[in-house]
Amino acid sequence: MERAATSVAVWLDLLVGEEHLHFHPRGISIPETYLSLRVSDLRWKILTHMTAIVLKNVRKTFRRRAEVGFSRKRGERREVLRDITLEVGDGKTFCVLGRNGSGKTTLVRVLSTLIEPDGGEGLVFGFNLVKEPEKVRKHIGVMLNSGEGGFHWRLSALANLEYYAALYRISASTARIRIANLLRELGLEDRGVDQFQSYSTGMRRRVALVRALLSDAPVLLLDEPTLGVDPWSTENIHNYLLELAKQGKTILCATNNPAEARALGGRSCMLEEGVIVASTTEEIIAS
Amino acid sequence: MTGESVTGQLFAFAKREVKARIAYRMTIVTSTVSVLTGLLAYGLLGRTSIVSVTTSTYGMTLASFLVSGVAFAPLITNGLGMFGNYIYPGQIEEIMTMPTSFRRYLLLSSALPISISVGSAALSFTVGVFLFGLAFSYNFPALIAVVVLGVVTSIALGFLGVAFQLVYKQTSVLSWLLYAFTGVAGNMLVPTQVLPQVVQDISFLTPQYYFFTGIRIALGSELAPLLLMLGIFAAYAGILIALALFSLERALRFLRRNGTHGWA
Repeated sequence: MERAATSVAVWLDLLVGEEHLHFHPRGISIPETYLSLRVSDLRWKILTHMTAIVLKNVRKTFRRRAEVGFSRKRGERREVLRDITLEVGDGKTFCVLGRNGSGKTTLVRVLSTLIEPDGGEGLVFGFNLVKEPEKVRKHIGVMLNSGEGGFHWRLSALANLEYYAALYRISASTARIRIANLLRELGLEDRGVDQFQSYSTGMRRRVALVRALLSDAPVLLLDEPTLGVDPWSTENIHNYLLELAKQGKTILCATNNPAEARALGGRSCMLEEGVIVASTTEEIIAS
Repeated sequence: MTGESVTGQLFAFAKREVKARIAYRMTIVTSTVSVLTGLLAYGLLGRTSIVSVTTSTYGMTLASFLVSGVAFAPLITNGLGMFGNYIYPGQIEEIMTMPTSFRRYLLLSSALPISISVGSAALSFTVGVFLFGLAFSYNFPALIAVVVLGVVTSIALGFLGVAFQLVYKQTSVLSWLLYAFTGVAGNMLVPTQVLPQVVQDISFLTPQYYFFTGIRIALGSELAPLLLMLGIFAAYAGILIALALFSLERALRFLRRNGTHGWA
Protein backbone atom coordinates (compact mmCIF):
# COMPACT_ATOMS: atom_id res chain seq x y z
CA MET A 1 0.00 0.00 0.00
CA GLU A 2 2.79 2.36 0.95
CA ARG A 3 4.68 1.54 -2.25
CA ALA A 4 1.57 2.21 -4.31
CA ALA A 5 1.08 5.52 -2.55
CA THR A 6 4.69 6.47 -3.22
CA SER A 7 4.29 5.58 -6.90
CA VAL A 8 1.26 7.79 -7.14
CA ALA A 9 3.20 10.56 -5.41
CA VAL A 10 6.08 10.24 -7.85
CA TRP A 11 3.69 10.26 -10.78
CA LEU A 12 1.99 13.33 -9.42
CA ASP A 13 5.38 14.88 -8.91
CA LEU A 14 6.13 14.41 -12.61
CA LEU A 15 2.82 15.98 -13.49
CA VAL A 16 2.61 18.91 -11.16
CA GLY A 17 6.14 19.74 -10.16
CA GLU A 18 8.16 19.16 -7.05
CA GLU A 19 6.61 21.97 -5.00
CA HIS A 20 3.70 19.65 -4.18
CA LEU A 21 5.81 16.94 -2.63
CA HIS A 22 7.20 16.73 0.84
CA PHE A 23 10.76 15.49 1.03
CA HIS A 24 11.75 13.53 4.09
CA PRO A 25 15.15 12.10 5.03
CA ARG A 26 13.85 8.58 4.41
CA GLY A 27 12.51 9.41 0.96
CA ILE A 28 9.42 10.85 -0.62
CA SER A 29 6.07 10.76 1.12
CA ILE A 30 2.72 11.40 -0.46
CA PRO A 31 1.39 14.91 0.09
CA GLU A 32 -1.42 15.19 2.60
CA THR A 33 -3.62 17.06 0.12
CA TYR A 34 -3.64 14.02 -2.18
CA LEU A 35 -4.23 11.51 0.63
CA SER A 36 -7.44 13.29 1.52
CA LEU A 37 -8.81 13.16 -2.06
CA ARG A 38 -11.50 10.74 -3.17
CA VAL A 39 -10.66 8.46 -6.12
CA SER A 40 -12.86 10.44 -8.52
CA ASP A 41 -11.30 13.71 -7.38
CA LEU A 42 -7.83 12.24 -7.72
CA ARG A 43 -8.64 11.14 -11.28
CA TRP A 44 -9.94 14.66 -12.05
CA LYS A 45 -6.79 16.15 -10.54
CA ILE A 46 -4.53 13.95 -12.65
CA LEU A 47 -6.56 14.57 -15.83
CA THR A 48 -6.52 18.32 -15.35
CA HIS A 49 -2.79 18.27 -14.79
CA MET A 50 -2.31 16.40 -18.05
CA THR A 51 -4.47 18.98 -19.82
CA ALA A 52 -2.74 22.34 -19.82
CA ILE A 53 -5.90 24.41 -20.21
CA VAL A 54 -9.41 23.40 -19.24
CA LEU A 55 -12.43 25.66 -19.48
CA LYS A 56 -15.81 24.31 -18.47
CA ASN A 57 -18.95 26.38 -19.14
CA VAL A 58 -17.11 29.65 -18.62
CA ARG A 59 -19.33 32.71 -18.77
CA LYS A 60 -18.53 36.39 -18.58
CA THR A 61 -20.73 39.43 -18.78
CA PHE A 62 -19.80 43.09 -18.53
CA ARG A 63 -21.96 45.96 -17.45
CA ARG A 64 -22.72 48.14 -20.44
CA ARG A 65 -21.29 51.60 -20.02
CA ALA A 66 -23.01 54.49 -21.71
CA GLU A 67 -21.40 57.87 -22.23
CA VAL A 68 -22.51 60.52 -19.78
CA GLY A 69 -25.75 62.03 -21.07
CA PHE A 70 -26.91 58.82 -22.74
CA SER A 71 -29.22 56.71 -20.68
CA ARG A 72 -29.07 52.97 -20.45
CA LYS A 73 -31.16 50.64 -18.36
CA ARG A 74 -29.62 50.25 -14.94
CA GLY A 75 -27.77 46.97 -14.58
CA GLU A 76 -27.95 46.15 -18.29
CA ARG A 77 -25.17 43.67 -19.12
CA ARG A 78 -23.50 42.38 -22.25
CA GLU A 79 -22.62 38.71 -22.54
CA VAL A 80 -19.06 38.38 -23.80
CA LEU A 81 -18.42 34.68 -23.19
CA ARG A 82 -21.24 32.14 -23.12
CA ASP A 83 -20.64 28.66 -21.79
CA ILE A 84 -17.17 28.29 -23.24
CA THR A 85 -15.89 24.74 -22.88
CA LEU A 86 -12.53 23.75 -24.29
CA GLU A 87 -9.45 21.72 -23.48
CA VAL A 88 -5.91 22.20 -24.69
CA GLY A 89 -3.55 19.30 -24.10
CA ASP A 90 -0.10 19.80 -22.66
CA GLY A 91 2.30 20.71 -25.47
CA LYS A 92 -0.44 21.44 -28.01
CA THR A 93 -1.20 24.53 -30.07
CA PHE A 94 -4.71 25.94 -30.09
CA CYS A 95 -5.97 28.96 -32.02
CA VAL A 96 -9.08 30.92 -31.14
CA LEU A 97 -10.39 32.57 -34.29
CA GLY A 98 -13.01 35.24 -34.44
CA ARG A 99 -13.98 38.68 -35.66
CA ASN A 100 -13.31 41.83 -33.67
CA GLY A 101 -15.50 41.84 -30.57
CA SER A 102 -16.20 38.12 -30.66
CA GLY A 103 -14.71 37.56 -27.19
CA LYS A 104 -11.19 36.37 -28.02
CA THR A 105 -9.41 38.97 -25.93
CA THR A 106 -11.76 38.39 -23.00
CA LEU A 107 -10.98 34.68 -23.21
CA VAL A 108 -7.22 35.39 -23.06
CA ARG A 109 -7.77 37.83 -20.20
CA VAL A 110 -9.75 35.21 -18.27
CA LEU A 111 -7.00 32.63 -18.81
CA SER A 112 -4.31 35.08 -17.75
CA THR A 113 -6.22 35.76 -14.48
CA LEU A 114 -6.82 39.40 -15.36
CA ILE A 115 -10.56 38.98 -15.11
CA GLU A 116 -12.72 36.51 -13.26
CA PRO A 117 -15.40 34.56 -15.06
CA ASP A 118 -18.95 34.96 -13.73
CA GLY A 119 -19.54 31.23 -13.90
CA GLY A 120 -17.99 27.93 -14.90
CA GLU A 121 -14.54 26.71 -14.08
CA GLY A 122 -11.14 27.35 -15.60
CA LEU A 123 -7.90 25.52 -14.89
CA VAL A 124 -4.32 25.90 -16.05
CA PHE A 125 -2.27 22.85 -15.20
CA GLY A 126 -4.91 21.99 -12.66
CA PHE A 127 -4.75 25.34 -10.92
CA ASN A 128 -8.01 27.19 -10.62
CA LEU A 129 -8.08 30.57 -12.36
CA VAL A 130 -10.13 32.19 -9.60
CA LYS A 131 -8.98 30.38 -6.47
CA GLU A 132 -5.28 29.96 -7.30
CA PRO A 133 -4.35 32.87 -9.60
CA GLU A 134 -0.80 33.15 -8.19
CA LYS A 135 -0.07 29.52 -9.11
CA VAL A 136 -1.59 30.00 -12.56
CA ARG A 137 0.64 33.04 -13.17
CA LYS A 138 3.73 30.95 -12.50
CA HIS A 139 2.78 28.73 -15.42
CA ILE A 140 1.87 31.30 -18.06
CA GLY A 141 3.60 33.76 -20.34
CA VAL A 142 1.20 36.36 -21.68
CA MET A 143 1.24 38.66 -24.66
CA LEU A 144 -1.79 40.89 -24.51
CA ASN A 145 -3.47 42.70 -27.36
CA SER A 146 -1.95 45.98 -26.17
CA GLY A 147 1.49 44.50 -26.77
CA GLU A 148 3.36 47.78 -26.40
CA GLY A 149 1.87 48.35 -22.97
CA GLY A 150 4.12 48.69 -20.00
CA PHE A 151 7.35 49.46 -21.81
CA HIS A 152 9.21 52.61 -20.84
CA TRP A 153 9.64 54.42 -24.13
CA ARG A 154 12.90 56.12 -23.21
CA LEU A 155 14.56 52.96 -22.03
CA SER A 156 16.03 50.24 -24.22
CA ALA A 157 14.48 46.85 -24.88
CA LEU A 158 17.25 45.37 -22.71
CA ALA A 159 16.47 47.60 -19.72
CA ASN A 160 12.72 47.07 -20.12
CA LEU A 161 13.08 43.30 -20.36
CA GLU A 162 15.44 43.10 -17.38
CA TYR A 163 12.77 44.87 -15.36
CA TYR A 164 10.09 42.40 -16.44
CA ALA A 165 12.46 39.51 -15.75
CA ALA A 166 12.63 40.76 -12.15
CA LEU A 167 8.84 40.84 -12.07
CA TYR A 168 8.86 37.25 -13.27
CA ARG A 169 11.27 36.66 -10.37
CA ILE A 170 14.10 35.55 -12.61
CA SER A 171 17.59 36.23 -11.28
CA ALA A 172 19.56 38.98 -13.02
CA SER A 173 22.26 36.64 -14.37
CA THR A 174 19.73 34.18 -15.84
CA ALA A 175 17.70 37.06 -17.23
CA ARG A 176 20.63 38.56 -19.11
CA ILE A 177 21.40 35.27 -20.88
CA ARG A 178 17.75 34.55 -21.64
CA ILE A 179 17.07 38.06 -22.98
CA ALA A 180 20.13 37.97 -25.24
CA ASN A 181 19.08 34.58 -26.64
CA LEU A 182 15.47 35.58 -27.21
CA LEU A 183 16.38 38.90 -28.85
CA ARG A 184 18.72 37.03 -31.16
CA GLU A 185 16.14 34.40 -32.03
CA LEU A 186 13.55 37.05 -32.85
CA GLY A 187 15.98 39.11 -34.92
CA LEU A 188 16.42 42.00 -32.52
CA GLU A 189 19.96 41.46 -31.30
CA ASP A 190 21.27 44.64 -32.99
CA ARG A 191 18.55 46.87 -31.56
CA GLY A 192 18.48 45.75 -27.95
CA VAL A 193 20.17 48.87 -26.60
CA ASP A 194 18.08 51.37 -28.59
CA GLN A 195 15.28 53.29 -26.92
CA PHE A 196 11.93 51.52 -27.17
CA GLN A 197 10.38 54.60 -28.80
CA SER A 198 12.65 54.17 -31.81
CA TYR A 199 11.23 50.75 -32.69
CA SER A 200 8.68 50.09 -35.40
CA THR A 201 5.28 48.58 -34.52
CA GLY A 202 6.45 45.14 -35.58
CA MET A 203 9.60 45.38 -33.49
CA ARG A 204 7.57 46.43 -30.45
CA ARG A 205 5.35 43.39 -30.90
CA ARG A 206 8.44 41.20 -31.02
CA VAL A 207 9.79 42.76 -27.83
CA ALA A 208 6.40 42.09 -26.24
CA LEU A 209 6.69 38.47 -27.38
CA VAL A 210 10.15 38.26 -25.81
CA ARG A 211 8.57 39.51 -22.56
CA ALA A 212 5.98 36.72 -22.73
CA LEU A 213 8.74 34.17 -23.29
CA LEU A 214 11.02 35.43 -20.52
CA SER A 215 9.75 33.17 -17.78
CA ASP A 216 10.03 30.06 -19.97
CA ALA A 217 6.49 29.25 -18.82
CA PRO A 218 4.95 26.03 -20.13
CA VAL A 219 1.81 27.84 -21.35
CA LEU A 220 1.84 30.79 -23.73
CA LEU A 221 -1.27 32.94 -24.08
CA LEU A 222 -0.96 35.17 -27.12
CA ASP A 223 -3.50 37.75 -28.20
CA GLU A 224 -2.94 38.81 -31.81
CA PRO A 225 0.82 38.18 -31.63
CA THR A 226 1.53 39.41 -35.15
CA LEU A 227 -0.77 42.42 -35.26
CA GLY A 228 1.01 45.12 -37.29
CA VAL A 229 3.98 42.89 -38.04
CA ASP A 230 5.22 42.66 -41.65
CA PRO A 231 4.72 39.33 -43.49
CA TRP A 232 8.41 38.37 -43.32
CA SER A 233 8.65 38.95 -39.58
CA THR A 234 5.25 37.25 -39.15
CA GLU A 235 6.65 34.14 -40.78
CA ASN A 236 9.69 34.38 -38.55
CA ILE A 237 7.47 34.58 -35.44
CA HIS A 238 5.30 31.68 -36.60
CA ASN A 239 8.35 29.52 -37.20
CA TYR A 240 9.65 30.38 -33.76
CA LEU A 241 6.31 29.54 -32.14
CA LEU A 242 6.21 26.23 -34.01
CA GLU A 243 9.69 25.49 -32.68
CA LEU A 244 8.47 26.24 -29.15
CA ALA A 245 5.49 23.95 -29.67
CA LYS A 246 7.88 21.18 -30.72
CA GLN A 247 9.77 21.75 -27.49
CA GLY A 248 6.56 21.07 -25.59
CA LYS A 249 5.09 24.51 -24.93
CA THR A 250 1.34 24.80 -24.88
CA ILE A 251 0.29 27.74 -27.04
CA LEU A 252 -3.11 29.38 -27.08
CA CYS A 253 -3.27 32.07 -29.73
CA ALA A 254 -6.22 34.40 -30.27
CA THR A 255 -6.32 35.80 -33.79
CA ASN A 256 -8.69 37.20 -36.38
CA ASN A 257 -6.46 35.94 -39.15
CA PRO A 258 -7.28 32.42 -40.44
CA ALA A 259 -3.88 32.30 -42.15
CA GLU A 260 -2.24 32.63 -38.74
CA ALA A 261 -4.25 29.69 -37.40
CA ARG A 262 -3.27 27.65 -40.45
CA ALA A 263 0.39 28.58 -40.06
CA LEU A 264 0.45 27.55 -36.42
CA GLY A 265 -1.36 24.30 -37.06
CA GLY A 266 -2.89 22.43 -34.16
CA ARG A 267 -6.55 22.67 -33.20
CA SER A 268 -8.68 25.76 -33.59
CA CYS A 269 -12.09 27.01 -32.68
CA MET A 270 -14.21 29.84 -33.96
CA LEU A 271 -15.79 32.32 -31.57
CA GLU A 272 -18.81 34.40 -32.50
CA GLU A 273 -20.47 36.71 -30.01
CA GLY A 274 -18.94 34.78 -27.17
CA VAL A 275 -20.00 31.35 -28.38
CA ILE A 276 -17.84 28.62 -29.89
CA VAL A 277 -19.57 28.10 -33.23
CA ALA A 278 -17.03 25.81 -34.83
CA SER A 279 -14.31 23.59 -33.49
CA THR A 280 -13.15 21.53 -36.46
CA THR A 281 -11.34 22.70 -39.60
CA GLU A 282 -14.37 21.86 -41.76
CA GLU A 283 -16.74 23.74 -39.49
CA ILE A 284 -14.42 26.74 -39.36
CA ILE A 285 -14.13 26.90 -43.15
CA ALA A 286 -17.89 26.54 -43.43
CA SER A 287 -18.49 29.32 -40.89
CA MET B 1 11.88 30.53 -12.86
CA THR B 2 14.57 30.83 -10.25
CA GLY B 3 12.66 32.67 -7.54
CA GLU B 4 14.34 36.07 -7.47
CA SER B 5 14.71 37.32 -3.90
CA VAL B 6 13.31 40.55 -2.49
CA THR B 7 16.73 42.19 -2.67
CA GLY B 8 17.19 41.08 -6.27
CA GLN B 9 13.83 42.56 -7.24
CA LEU B 10 14.54 45.67 -5.19
CA PHE B 11 17.81 46.18 -7.05
CA ALA B 12 16.21 45.60 -10.45
CA PHE B 13 13.36 48.03 -9.76
CA ALA B 14 15.75 50.65 -8.34
CA LYS B 15 17.95 50.30 -11.42
CA ARG B 16 14.97 50.96 -13.68
CA GLU B 17 13.90 53.91 -11.51
CA VAL B 18 17.35 55.48 -11.75
CA LYS B 19 17.50 54.95 -15.51
CA ALA B 20 14.00 56.41 -15.98
CA ARG B 21 14.85 59.43 -13.83
CA ILE B 22 18.08 60.03 -15.71
CA ALA B 23 16.06 59.90 -18.95
CA TYR B 24 14.12 62.88 -17.58
CA ARG B 25 17.00 64.63 -15.77
CA MET B 26 15.53 68.10 -16.25
CA THR B 27 12.74 67.07 -13.85
CA ILE B 28 15.34 66.33 -11.17
CA VAL B 29 16.82 69.83 -11.59
CA THR B 30 13.45 71.63 -11.53
CA SER B 31 12.14 69.70 -8.52
CA THR B 32 15.36 70.32 -6.56
CA VAL B 33 15.17 74.05 -7.32
CA SER B 34 11.48 74.07 -6.29
CA VAL B 35 12.30 72.51 -2.91
CA LEU B 36 15.06 75.05 -2.28
CA THR B 37 13.00 78.07 -3.34
CA GLY B 38 10.09 76.87 -1.15
CA LEU B 39 12.44 76.54 1.78
CA LEU B 40 13.87 80.00 1.15
CA ALA B 41 10.46 81.62 0.75
CA TYR B 42 9.05 80.21 3.99
CA GLY B 43 12.32 80.63 5.91
CA LEU B 44 12.56 84.29 4.93
CA LEU B 45 8.89 84.83 5.66
CA GLY B 46 9.38 83.30 9.11
CA ARG B 47 12.32 85.61 9.84
CA THR B 48 10.14 88.69 9.29
CA SER B 49 8.09 87.74 12.33
CA ILE B 50 9.46 88.80 15.71
CA VAL B 51 6.73 87.36 17.89
CA SER B 52 4.63 84.39 16.89
CA VAL B 53 2.12 82.04 18.47
CA THR B 54 4.58 79.25 17.69
CA THR B 55 7.01 80.61 20.29
CA SER B 56 4.53 80.15 23.13
CA THR B 57 2.90 76.90 21.94
CA TYR B 58 5.76 75.02 20.24
CA GLY B 59 8.75 76.67 21.85
CA MET B 60 10.19 77.62 18.46
CA THR B 61 10.29 80.68 16.23
CA LEU B 62 7.99 80.98 13.23
CA ALA B 63 11.00 80.42 10.94
CA SER B 64 11.85 77.16 12.76
CA PHE B 65 8.20 76.10 12.60
CA LEU B 66 7.93 76.81 8.86
CA VAL B 67 11.28 75.32 7.88
CA SER B 68 10.57 72.10 9.79
CA GLY B 69 7.15 71.93 8.12
CA VAL B 70 8.35 72.61 4.58
CA ALA B 71 11.41 70.34 4.80
CA PHE B 72 9.54 67.27 6.01
CA ALA B 73 6.34 67.91 4.04
CA PRO B 74 7.13 65.68 1.01
CA LEU B 75 7.25 62.63 3.31
CA ILE B 76 3.55 62.86 3.98
CA THR B 77 2.04 65.12 1.32
CA ASN B 78 3.25 62.96 -1.58
CA GLY B 79 1.66 59.89 -0.03
CA LEU B 80 -1.53 59.79 -2.04
CA GLY B 81 0.26 59.91 -5.36
CA MET B 82 3.20 57.82 -4.21
CA PHE B 83 2.42 54.89 -6.49
CA GLY B 84 0.99 56.95 -9.33
CA ASN B 85 4.02 56.35 -11.54
CA TYR B 86 3.61 52.60 -11.30
CA ILE B 87 -0.02 52.14 -12.22
CA TYR B 88 -0.32 53.77 -15.59
CA PRO B 89 -2.95 52.12 -17.78
CA GLY B 90 -0.66 50.47 -20.30
CA GLN B 91 1.35 48.69 -17.66
CA ILE B 92 -1.15 47.54 -15.11
CA GLU B 93 -2.47 44.60 -17.14
CA GLU B 94 1.01 43.30 -17.84
CA ILE B 95 1.95 43.50 -14.17
CA MET B 96 -1.18 41.68 -13.09
CA THR B 97 -0.37 38.63 -15.21
CA MET B 98 2.99 38.14 -13.50
CA PRO B 99 3.93 36.07 -10.46
CA THR B 100 4.94 39.12 -8.40
CA SER B 101 1.98 40.27 -6.33
CA PHE B 102 0.65 43.73 -7.06
CA ARG B 103 1.30 44.94 -3.52
CA ARG B 104 4.88 43.70 -3.57
CA TYR B 105 5.36 45.34 -6.96
CA LEU B 106 4.13 48.71 -5.66
CA LEU B 107 6.19 48.56 -2.48
CA LEU B 108 9.44 47.46 -4.08
CA SER B 109 9.04 49.90 -6.98
CA SER B 110 8.64 52.84 -4.63
CA ALA B 111 11.39 51.84 -2.20
CA LEU B 112 13.96 54.04 -3.94
CA PRO B 113 11.67 57.09 -4.29
CA ILE B 114 10.77 56.77 -0.60
CA SER B 115 14.46 56.65 0.34
CA ILE B 116 15.11 59.68 -1.87
CA SER B 117 12.24 61.54 -0.14
CA VAL B 118 13.64 60.79 3.30
CA GLY B 119 17.14 61.79 2.19
CA SER B 120 16.00 65.02 0.57
CA ALA B 121 13.87 65.90 3.62
CA ALA B 122 16.91 65.49 5.86
CA LEU B 123 19.07 67.46 3.43
CA SER B 124 16.66 70.36 2.97
CA PHE B 125 16.09 70.53 6.75
CA THR B 126 19.86 70.70 7.30
CA VAL B 127 20.19 73.38 4.61
CA GLY B 128 17.38 75.37 6.25
CA VAL B 129 18.98 75.08 9.69
CA PHE B 130 22.34 76.39 8.45
CA LEU B 131 20.88 79.00 6.10
CA PHE B 132 18.70 80.61 8.74
CA GLY B 133 20.79 79.73 11.79
CA LEU B 134 17.93 77.85 13.45
CA ALA B 135 18.30 76.19 16.83
CA PHE B 136 16.46 73.01 17.82
CA SER B 137 16.92 70.58 20.70
CA TYR B 138 17.00 67.32 18.80
CA ASN B 139 15.55 64.03 20.01
CA PHE B 140 16.87 61.80 17.22
CA PRO B 141 15.19 58.52 18.24
CA ALA B 142 11.84 60.34 18.35
CA LEU B 143 12.56 62.04 15.02
CA ILE B 144 13.35 58.69 13.40
CA ALA B 145 10.20 57.16 14.90
CA VAL B 146 8.04 60.00 13.55
CA VAL B 147 9.65 59.78 10.11
CA VAL B 148 9.11 56.00 10.02
CA LEU B 149 5.47 56.43 11.04
CA GLY B 150 5.15 59.18 8.44
CA VAL B 151 6.46 56.84 5.74
CA VAL B 152 4.07 54.08 6.86
CA THR B 153 1.19 56.56 6.77
CA SER B 154 2.32 57.70 3.34
CA ILE B 155 2.36 54.11 2.07
CA ALA B 156 -1.15 53.64 3.45
CA LEU B 157 -2.30 56.81 1.69
CA GLY B 158 -0.56 55.56 -1.45
CA PHE B 159 -2.46 52.26 -1.34
CA LEU B 160 -5.71 54.17 -0.78
CA GLY B 161 -4.87 56.42 -3.73
CA VAL B 162 -4.19 53.39 -5.96
CA ALA B 163 -7.42 51.71 -4.84
CA PHE B 164 -9.37 54.87 -5.62
CA GLN B 165 -7.62 55.29 -8.97
CA LEU B 166 -8.29 51.69 -10.01
CA VAL B 167 -11.99 51.96 -9.27
CA TYR B 168 -12.81 55.58 -10.12
CA LYS B 169 -9.96 56.19 -12.62
CA GLN B 170 -8.99 59.45 -10.93
CA THR B 171 -7.74 60.60 -7.56
CA SER B 172 -8.61 64.29 -7.78
CA VAL B 173 -11.60 63.99 -5.41
CA LEU B 174 -9.52 62.17 -2.82
CA SER B 175 -6.65 64.64 -3.25
CA TRP B 176 -9.04 67.51 -2.76
CA LEU B 177 -10.52 65.94 0.36
CA LEU B 178 -7.11 65.23 1.83
CA TYR B 179 -5.11 68.28 0.82
CA ALA B 180 -7.43 71.23 0.19
CA PHE B 181 -8.56 71.15 3.77
CA THR B 182 -5.44 69.83 5.42
CA GLY B 183 -3.32 72.50 3.74
CA VAL B 184 -4.84 74.73 6.39
CA ALA B 185 -5.59 72.27 9.16
CA GLY B 186 -2.65 69.83 8.83
CA ASN B 187 -0.32 71.83 11.11
CA MET B 188 2.29 72.04 8.36
CA LEU B 189 2.44 75.81 7.87
CA VAL B 190 -0.43 77.13 9.96
CA PRO B 191 -0.32 76.33 13.71
CA THR B 192 -3.66 74.72 14.49
CA GLN B 193 -3.91 76.81 17.66
CA VAL B 194 -4.81 79.90 15.61
CA LEU B 195 -7.71 78.10 13.91
CA PRO B 196 -11.35 78.05 15.11
CA GLN B 197 -12.06 75.28 17.61
CA VAL B 198 -14.18 73.28 15.16
CA VAL B 199 -11.32 73.22 12.62
CA GLN B 200 -8.89 72.25 15.37
CA ASP B 201 -11.14 69.31 16.24
CA ILE B 202 -11.27 68.21 12.62
CA SER B 203 -7.48 68.50 12.29
CA PHE B 204 -7.16 65.67 14.83
CA LEU B 205 -8.56 63.40 12.11
CA THR B 206 -5.83 64.17 9.60
CA PRO B 207 -2.58 62.20 9.37
CA GLN B 208 -0.65 65.40 8.70
CA TYR B 209 -1.55 66.75 12.12
CA TYR B 210 0.11 63.82 13.90
CA PHE B 211 3.10 63.83 11.58
CA PHE B 212 3.93 67.54 11.82
CA THR B 213 3.14 67.76 15.52
CA GLY B 214 5.34 64.70 16.10
CA ILE B 215 8.17 66.35 14.12
CA ARG B 216 7.93 69.50 16.22
CA ILE B 217 7.94 67.53 19.48
CA ALA B 218 10.99 65.56 18.28
CA LEU B 219 12.66 68.90 17.54
CA GLY B 220 12.21 70.20 21.06
CA SER B 221 8.62 71.34 21.44
CA GLU B 222 6.90 70.36 24.68
CA LEU B 223 3.41 70.66 23.26
CA ALA B 224 2.37 67.15 24.32
CA PRO B 225 4.02 64.15 26.01
CA LEU B 226 6.26 62.47 23.41
CA LEU B 227 5.20 58.87 24.06
CA LEU B 228 1.51 59.73 24.01
CA MET B 229 1.88 61.49 20.66
CA LEU B 230 3.91 58.61 19.21
CA GLY B 231 1.37 56.09 20.51
CA ILE B 232 -1.55 57.93 18.93
CA PHE B 233 0.35 58.34 15.64
CA ALA B 234 1.31 54.63 15.61
CA ALA B 235 -2.32 53.62 16.22
CA TYR B 236 -3.46 56.01 13.49
CA ALA B 237 -0.89 54.62 11.03
CA GLY B 238 -1.85 51.05 11.93
CA ILE B 239 -5.55 51.62 11.35
CA LEU B 240 -4.86 53.50 8.12
CA ILE B 241 -2.61 50.76 6.71
CA ALA B 242 -5.19 48.08 7.55
CA LEU B 243 -7.89 50.13 5.84
CA ALA B 244 -5.61 50.77 2.87
CA LEU B 245 -4.74 47.08 2.40
CA PHE B 246 -8.40 46.15 2.58
CA SER B 247 -9.31 48.87 0.05
CA LEU B 248 -6.56 47.80 -2.36
CA GLU B 249 -7.69 44.18 -2.19
CA ARG B 250 -11.29 45.22 -2.88
CA ALA B 251 -10.19 47.45 -5.77
CA LEU B 252 -8.21 44.63 -7.39
CA ARG B 253 -11.22 42.35 -7.01
CA PHE B 254 -13.35 45.06 -8.62
CA LEU B 255 -10.97 45.18 -11.59
CA ARG B 256 -10.96 41.41 -12.00
CA ARG B 257 -14.75 41.38 -12.02
CA ASN B 258 -15.31 44.37 -14.28
CA GLY B 259 -12.28 44.16 -16.52
CA THR B 260 -11.80 47.93 -16.38
CA HIS B 261 -8.04 47.90 -16.09
CA GLY B 262 -7.46 50.72 -18.52
CA TRP B 263 -8.26 54.39 -18.61
CA ALA B 264 -7.02 57.35 -20.60
